[in-house]
Amino acid sequence: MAAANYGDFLTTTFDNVVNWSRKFSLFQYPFVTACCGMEYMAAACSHYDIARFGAEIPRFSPRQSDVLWVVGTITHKMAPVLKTIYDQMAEPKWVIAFGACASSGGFYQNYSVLQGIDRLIPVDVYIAGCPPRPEAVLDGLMELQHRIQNDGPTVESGMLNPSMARHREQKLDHLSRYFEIPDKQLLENTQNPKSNRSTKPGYVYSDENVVVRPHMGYDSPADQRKKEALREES
Amino acid sequence: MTETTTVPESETPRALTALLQQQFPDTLIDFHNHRGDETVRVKREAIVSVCQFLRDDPRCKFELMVDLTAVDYFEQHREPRFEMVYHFKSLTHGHRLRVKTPVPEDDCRVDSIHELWEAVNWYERECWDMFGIEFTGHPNLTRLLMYEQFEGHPLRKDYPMDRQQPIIELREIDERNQYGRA
Amino acid sequence: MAIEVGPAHPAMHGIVRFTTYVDGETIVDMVPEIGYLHRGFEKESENSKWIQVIPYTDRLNYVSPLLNNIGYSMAVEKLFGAEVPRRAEYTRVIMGEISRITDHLTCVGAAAMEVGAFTFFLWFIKAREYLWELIEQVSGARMTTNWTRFGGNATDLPDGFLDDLQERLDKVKDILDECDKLLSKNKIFIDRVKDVGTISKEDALSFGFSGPMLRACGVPFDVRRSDPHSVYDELDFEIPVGTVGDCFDRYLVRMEEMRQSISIIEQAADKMPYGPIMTDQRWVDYPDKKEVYGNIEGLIEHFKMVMEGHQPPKGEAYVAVEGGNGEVGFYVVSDGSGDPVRVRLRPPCFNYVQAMRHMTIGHYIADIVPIFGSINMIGGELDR
Repeated sequence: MAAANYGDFLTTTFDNVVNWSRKFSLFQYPFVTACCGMEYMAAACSHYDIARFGAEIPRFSPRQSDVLWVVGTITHKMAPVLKTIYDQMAEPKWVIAFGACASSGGFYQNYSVLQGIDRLIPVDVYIAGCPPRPEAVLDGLMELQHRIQNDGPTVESGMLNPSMARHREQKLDHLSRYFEIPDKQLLENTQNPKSNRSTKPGYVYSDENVVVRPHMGYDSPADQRKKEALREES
Repeated sequence: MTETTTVPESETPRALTALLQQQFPDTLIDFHNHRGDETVRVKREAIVSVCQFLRDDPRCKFELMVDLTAVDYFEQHREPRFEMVYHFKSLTHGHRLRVKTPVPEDDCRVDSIHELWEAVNWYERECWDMFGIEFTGHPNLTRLLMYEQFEGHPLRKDYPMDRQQPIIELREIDERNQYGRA
Repeated sequence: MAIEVGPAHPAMHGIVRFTTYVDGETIVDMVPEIGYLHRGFEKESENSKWIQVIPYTDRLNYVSPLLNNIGYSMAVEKLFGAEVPRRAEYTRVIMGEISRITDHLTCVGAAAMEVGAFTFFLWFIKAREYLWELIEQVSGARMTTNWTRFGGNATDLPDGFLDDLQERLDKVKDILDECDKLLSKNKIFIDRVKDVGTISKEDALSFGFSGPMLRACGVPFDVRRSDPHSVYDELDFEIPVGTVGDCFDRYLVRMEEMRQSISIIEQAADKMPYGPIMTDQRWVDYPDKKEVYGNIEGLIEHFKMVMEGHQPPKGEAYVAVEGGNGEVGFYVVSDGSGDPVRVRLRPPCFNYVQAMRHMTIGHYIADIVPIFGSINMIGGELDR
């Protein structure tokens, strides 16, 4: 792997091996509610085979799974159930928002639909589509595998738990490995308004990309405080 | 191609409508056959007896209660505001019938017909849940599609579509507020 | 003792919650709770134009979306009094029957998987892929098709479609034959589903059953026969009817219905006429692009139809189509303006889930799975 500011060579290799094994043996919990479930079934079955990526068997217990696939619309009646299941999963855990309804409520903007599950739990990858084609599903899974590979169990902040470390120092940590950017620019996204995946290494993006905020997921309380402070400054 | 919905005595009633007119002379408000769907409107006090007649009489024999719903005519400023709509289907004779009953807003109540068909139980619960029409005599009039903590009746026209009542605390996401949407 | 078969359970049907009261392993009472996927279809359709409701109808019974599209379009066409040209009717029949096959494939495949036959599921999903690729050729999307319009269809069949159709139907028939050999005479499967979830004819009628559930009880009621819509009265098909009304009968009825659907498609493909796919009645369908860009009347008509929406004359209509699950009814009310007053879907599986209590009392907990699988509950349709 290219130079990462974790520590020495030994911890880097250890990180790489652990992440490699994590990303290719994901146990999924498919939280299937609606129509996207049909495309999930299509992606999981023999034609579009999700098993060749290692994400083979759905483990229908949150205690035994790594990835929570939230497939389909989540209504307000279902939201506490989703939160309970997310809380029951053991670290490290990742969340994939599958489909338009899980990402942002889809085209249902009414009294009963939760407008995106990131109002409730932190999400790692959003897969767009209504429903997304199985190729898009596999692309989203590969994106998640990239993100898992670039994490590490031993990070500078001293936390042994990779997802906790990610949630706390996510954006600053990743970006500081590749660029030297002042705090203000990072949090206000003034450095490259057209980039939408600044955390992904080695990719080249053209100017035609849709502009979205660069960090997917949520701001940790530390980031929120920093943003507040910056807003008050200016 | 008929354009109007309610046609007074100038239109000839079809067989079922004539039968109902004969059996229940005071309760029939009007009838029509718009687009071939036989429809009768009855007073709401008589709905149970009319439905029982429709189910049991050998000339009607409506075994299937197909649909039970309500329509809110708030925007059309109609008095009475709601209208209960029942659809029936007979398998022995093959005919269909639509029975409508006006329900005023201030006395939002209809007699329940759940003893005639088992299917009516949940349909009436859903109608109460969505419209707030109370069914007297229903064994278990509780929320079916919405959750218990929900206040209001969503399918009424004066319930705003966007009013969400989340039962679990949600996180704030800055990006959403940037574009002015929830 | 109360056991919750909770909203998030592994059966990939949808989200329903059963609070089951058991004595030992026998069920003494059960309270189903639904509404976990209530997405406000009816409220959304009141706030859209008539044509904007068609994508919402896709997501109702999402394993057979074309049947929902057809049902809703037929209801609004009834309000307009519009006639659909014959080629459009035949293509609607073909696409509708393909959708019905995908519905039964998903239902039987998932039910068999839960009972333990995993291979069945994989093969049926492969068969479903063949059919979805067909649907994609015509409408552009595998699942959420949004294909019918008022007075006809959005797109026509592409060239070479009918040959491709025949090839794929042969492949699907092969898969059906192989899977039939696997399960229909398999003692393990029969022991699991025979005499489980039995419901008598009178109870089924009282609960408002229709579709495969009612036919398995012995009542030959099919909306395609009793209220024939589009061109079903010109096509020749049989209605499979069961005897007892248990899960095994429903499985057999669905397997046979798939074969009947294949035969209907072949007949319709044979008889496919040439002609337009949209009615030329004005104000029902957008005018031809030549008119829109050619003269001012076409431009104004297009503009008014898009901005104000379709304006069916004042009235109400109820149309029932035979969906994969049963009688799917659309009740639409219009007041002459461009906004719908009421769009109501009559969900067939509403009645079945209501009857779950009746069907499971006296059976074991393990029997919930085959009974619920045979119901073919689709969350989008149940909760709308």
